[in-house]
Amino acid sequence: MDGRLAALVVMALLVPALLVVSLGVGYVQINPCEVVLALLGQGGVPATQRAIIWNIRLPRALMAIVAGFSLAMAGIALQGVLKNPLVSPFTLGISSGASFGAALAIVLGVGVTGVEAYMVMANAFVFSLVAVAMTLAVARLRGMTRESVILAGIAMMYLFSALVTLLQYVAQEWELRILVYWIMGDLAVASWRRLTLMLPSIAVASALLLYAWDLNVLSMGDEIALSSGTNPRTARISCTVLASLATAIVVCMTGPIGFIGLVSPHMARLIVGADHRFSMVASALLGAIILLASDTLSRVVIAPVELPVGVVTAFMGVPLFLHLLLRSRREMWA
Amino acid sequence: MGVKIVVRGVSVYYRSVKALEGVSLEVGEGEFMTLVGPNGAGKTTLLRCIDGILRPRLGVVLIDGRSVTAMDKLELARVVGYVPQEARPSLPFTVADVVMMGRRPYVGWRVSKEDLEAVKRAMDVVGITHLAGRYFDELSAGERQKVMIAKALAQEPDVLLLDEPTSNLDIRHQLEILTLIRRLAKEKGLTVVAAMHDLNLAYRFSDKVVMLSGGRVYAAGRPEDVLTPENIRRVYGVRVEVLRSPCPHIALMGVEEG
Repeated sequence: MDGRLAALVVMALLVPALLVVSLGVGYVQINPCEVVLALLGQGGVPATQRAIIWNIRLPRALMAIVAGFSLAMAGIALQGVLKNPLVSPFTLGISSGASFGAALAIVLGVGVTGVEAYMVMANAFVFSLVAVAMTLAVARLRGMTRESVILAGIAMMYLFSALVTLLQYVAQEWELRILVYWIMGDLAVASWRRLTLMLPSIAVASALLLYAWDLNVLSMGDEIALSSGTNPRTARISCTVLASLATAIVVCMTGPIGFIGLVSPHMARLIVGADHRFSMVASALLGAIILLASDTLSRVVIAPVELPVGVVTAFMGVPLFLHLLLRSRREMWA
Repeated sequence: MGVKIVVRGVSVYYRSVKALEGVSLEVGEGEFMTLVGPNGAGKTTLLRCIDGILRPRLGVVLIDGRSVTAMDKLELARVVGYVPQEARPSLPFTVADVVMMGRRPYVGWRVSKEDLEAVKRAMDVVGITHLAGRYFDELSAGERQKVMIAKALAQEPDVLLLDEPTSNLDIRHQLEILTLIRRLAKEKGLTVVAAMHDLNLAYRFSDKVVMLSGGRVYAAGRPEDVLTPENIRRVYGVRVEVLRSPCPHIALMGVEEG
């Protein structure tokens, strides 16, 4: 019992520690003391350094934390309701829906809003939810079973991916370039305004914690869930909707950053066990840690060139994941 | 002792296939009732109706005079514990995790001292305290069955429903589990309804036996009145003899020809 709580505390403390490190590194190196002073608004830090921290690095680092937190929370909730270790927040078609929305705006200039600055974002948001809605509508025809949700999600993924490919085919070279970067997923677009717009995803993702007990009993089978007072159907739908919404809010700002939502849940369970009361919190914190660390690395590995964060996430996360997997006695699914 | 469960005229159809038809029975408080009958006779379906998992097309199930389908799911879960035939968690839960799930109907989110005590008591009664830290899927079938009973007991129910609680167990575990369940019925006044295949165990442990056949109640009453060679021949198509010594025992003689 206490071990699990201690692990959560350590993870929670790692986030601010990593934040200080992250704010210090980059093209202009700033030592941790100055970072802390600048964050606290104390004097003694040169104006340039302060500006770099407050205007450039802080919103970006906070966006990494928010995005990682939300994607990882959505991931563990969806793996829980769909009882499948390969599920990620993108399984329901969110990422390809979002990419299609972005492509519509970038290539054809068609958007759900006329305001050009927000067209890509708004399109991505709306179409990611359209994709999820279509997935769930199809799955409903088959009684919302787990298999039907996953299969319908895969179908939508292919559909929207094909549409994106079609748009790529007709795109100008420069449009193509923008689109490809968008689809890679990136945090370089960070700003305070975008961060503010992304904040609701934390609330939505955190609401999933209310379903921790339901997810526990659901994993024992629908019969046991029912006899424990949980309606499997309602729990499945609520979790899916909340997870999708949280993911859509993130993805429309950053593009589809993969891997976090898939792997953080596994790592969390390896560290604190299967009980969702602990594993959900752990997953979200690990998501924030991994994405923040990856983004920091992406800025320094071959500085001044920045790597797409998704690439670094995978390079960093895969060895860590494999280590935990091979070392630990068990995590696997029945 | 009062009547705890009343099943009145319950009919259930799976699509158009009839599973139960006009089933009526009563279970007294602290009574151990066994449902017997061939595969497909409706034993599991009846248990599901009593637990409100299935809503009968006709008829009603009352617990303490209240209809189970009208009760809130959480409220019902505090009254009725259900132990399915086999539980297969999709995640690697420990025994303590699984038993704690029995507190689902009580907790908001945080686990209170009371919850921890209820979990401890349940594990104690069933005798699995030493397994608390083990992984559920590493246990033997007998141990898993005990864990699921402990999980149901952690719900602090008045009624315990069991679907073939002994079908995967060796003879020692069969006797252990049924002795435990009988003790719970007699000492704690728990009302028990169990579906069972083993007629000898049903004979030996239950207060009352209900024999189902084709979705209807074929016979109901004391074990010695229901588990007669004539009834068993009619319902199962099997010839048996009931031997009285050294203890009441149903000997299987062979399948009825024709």
